[in-house]
Amino acid sequence: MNQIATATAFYQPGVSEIVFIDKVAAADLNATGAEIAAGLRLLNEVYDVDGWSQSTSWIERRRAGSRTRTQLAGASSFAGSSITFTMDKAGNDAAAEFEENQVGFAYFADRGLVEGLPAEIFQVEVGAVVPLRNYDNDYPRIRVDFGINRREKVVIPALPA
Amino acid sequence: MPLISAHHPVYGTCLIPESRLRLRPGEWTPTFAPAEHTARAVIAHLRACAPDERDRVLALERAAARPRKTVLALARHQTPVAVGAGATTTAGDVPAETPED
Repeated sequence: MNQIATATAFYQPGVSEIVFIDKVAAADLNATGAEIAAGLRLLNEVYDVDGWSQSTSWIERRRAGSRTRTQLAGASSFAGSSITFTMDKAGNDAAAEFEENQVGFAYFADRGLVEGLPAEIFQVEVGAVVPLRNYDNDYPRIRVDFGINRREKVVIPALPA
Repeated sequence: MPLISAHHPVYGTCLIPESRLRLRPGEWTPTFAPAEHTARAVIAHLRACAPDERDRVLALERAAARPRKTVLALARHQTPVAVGAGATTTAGDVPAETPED
């Protein structure tokens, strides 16, 4: 019997990268190295990430002749997704980078931006850019809400030096 | 803050927040909107720009409510001439410039 490979667990901060890409020419959403390199690296100012997943609604299959109710795969939907950034005092922050109705692509290189490793790309539309004010012992942030229109698994290409 | 049409050397033309021009000057260039310029300025832009930009501006001019004849005449009279590898420029009869139709 085959054994699943032993995974090397890792701590994501400092390894992962999220890049916002304005346009991807390829229909299969495989961004080129030049498109990724020209993108906006976000993770250095990211406070938190929420959503960016897909889930299936299951339909219960009923049979009166059986006590067991099996499942049919139903609609698949994307979770409400957002990225929260640190607010900059001078305004040079996510609020200046993103605007409502802006379209683009969020490129998640979870294992690092390294050629040959798997990544995910989401075709997105910015829904809202919301300041999260804080008058307590914390700093203000900006939450950018993204609507996901498409998700593809890709392999990171060679990046320009 | 509005989204504006801007050109990027890698991405081409995209709609981006206007503030990005301030954040990263030189990376994005606002695209030329012919409706906001005189016919003379549009013709000057068409003479100087790349072929794909020329096609884009002429398409916008054709789609305008009142397309200017002098601008469209430039498209009819000019013939693309290949220069070097892949690059093209325009040459030929150029209509007389007038400030506006």
